[in-house]
Amino acid sequence: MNDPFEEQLRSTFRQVAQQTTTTHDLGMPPPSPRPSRSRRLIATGALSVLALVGVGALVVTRGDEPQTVRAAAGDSATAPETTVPSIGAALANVCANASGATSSSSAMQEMMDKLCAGGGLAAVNPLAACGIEAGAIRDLLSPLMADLEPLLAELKVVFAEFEPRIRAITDDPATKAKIELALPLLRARLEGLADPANRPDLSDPAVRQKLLDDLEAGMAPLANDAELKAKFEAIGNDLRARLEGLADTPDAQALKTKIEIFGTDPAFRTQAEALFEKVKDCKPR
Amino acid sequence: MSQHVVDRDQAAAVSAAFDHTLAPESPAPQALSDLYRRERAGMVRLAHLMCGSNETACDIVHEAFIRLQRNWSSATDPRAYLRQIVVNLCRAHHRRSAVERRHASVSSVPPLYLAPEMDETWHALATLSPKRRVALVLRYYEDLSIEDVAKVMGCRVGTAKSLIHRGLASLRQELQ
Repeated sequence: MNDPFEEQLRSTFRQVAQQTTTTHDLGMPPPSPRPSRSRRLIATGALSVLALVGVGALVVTRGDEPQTVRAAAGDSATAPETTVPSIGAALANVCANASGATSSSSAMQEMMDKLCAGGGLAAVNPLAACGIEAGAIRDLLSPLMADLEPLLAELKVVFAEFEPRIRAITDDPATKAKIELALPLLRARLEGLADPANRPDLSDPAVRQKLLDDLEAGMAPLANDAELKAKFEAIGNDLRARLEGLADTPDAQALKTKIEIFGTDPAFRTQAEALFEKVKDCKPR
Repeated sequence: MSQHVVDRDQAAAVSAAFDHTLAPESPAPQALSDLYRRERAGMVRLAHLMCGSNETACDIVHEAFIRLQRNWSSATDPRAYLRQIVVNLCRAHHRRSAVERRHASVSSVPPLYLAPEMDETWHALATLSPKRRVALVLRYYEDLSIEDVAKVMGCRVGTAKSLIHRGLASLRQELQ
């Protein structure tokens, strides 16, 4: 059993090492003084929610071409226009990158190949059955999209930094064996979703809930594994620290201010509340 | 805005410049260039932990690669040799800047975003003697055995053990 103090020292070294930049910051402005912890937490929260909503906006809208969207509020004739990638393009990108992500012989790779070949994922829009128009969330947030983009790029860099650590866990032979045990169920469920002929009726809340319950039960041996949990919690703690750092950047602070101003716009509030009501009713259970 | 993105671009530029300087006269340009790409970031992290400054760490690692290039033919294990140079340069840096460090406040170093208990540990590390700090970094970051710590630091095993033990004790005391 390792001494907790020694473990803390190791974690400190790892965290500092992760924040080490490997070249001189030539021409970069000096960092701003560190804000209070509560301010950082608020900023992180706002940023995380926005990132989730941004991803959600992409998920609920789909199409095969890049789409031009209009600002939700105000006169549509004078509203600014922004081109954002369609969900089809995003999935195509995922599929294009998936081929090099894992070993070609692995079960995960086979599963990705099947999903990408079928193109079934792009056809899933569970919110459509609840009367939520494709593009509704994206249109609602379109005035913020340009500001969100650099932060999403930063998030991508952060996740790329953590990817080797996650891979080290999943590539560990003991963990790999556990994952391989849980994989057949996950594979069967995802293949079921990807197959248009046998896809369950996702507009039915009971069906969606059963799907979640089945997945949860199938993944329980992995989710309840104490050793694995501890490893991922350690990564989670480090990731949280990095995201807090990201929330302190001038870009994030500027976005936060813009969200606060945007949130007071009556037109936005009306549309957001209406959309929230629809999403709330659409949730399983 | 995007410091990490900028760093990657800079890293590519530095790497290209390094390739260029190695080109004609280097004894093993490709191997050294590969080692540079593979190990540079890790060595900067190691140097940062040992000397406490990101900027100094970059300088030290650059200098270490230049020294490695000069002695490439005598390096049987280039990575271990590189690490040895980085450790020696960090210790030399500590010796040279002892007076400066006594008068410099920790707050002059660019801030890191650490969990509170780790922030305290990082600040407490600055109070350790350079030898103890280096020993702790080699033992708990590089995960070297005590024998290897002794080898890298050029001291006896008992001395390395003592440096680690006393380093931990000082840290504990500092954090209480």
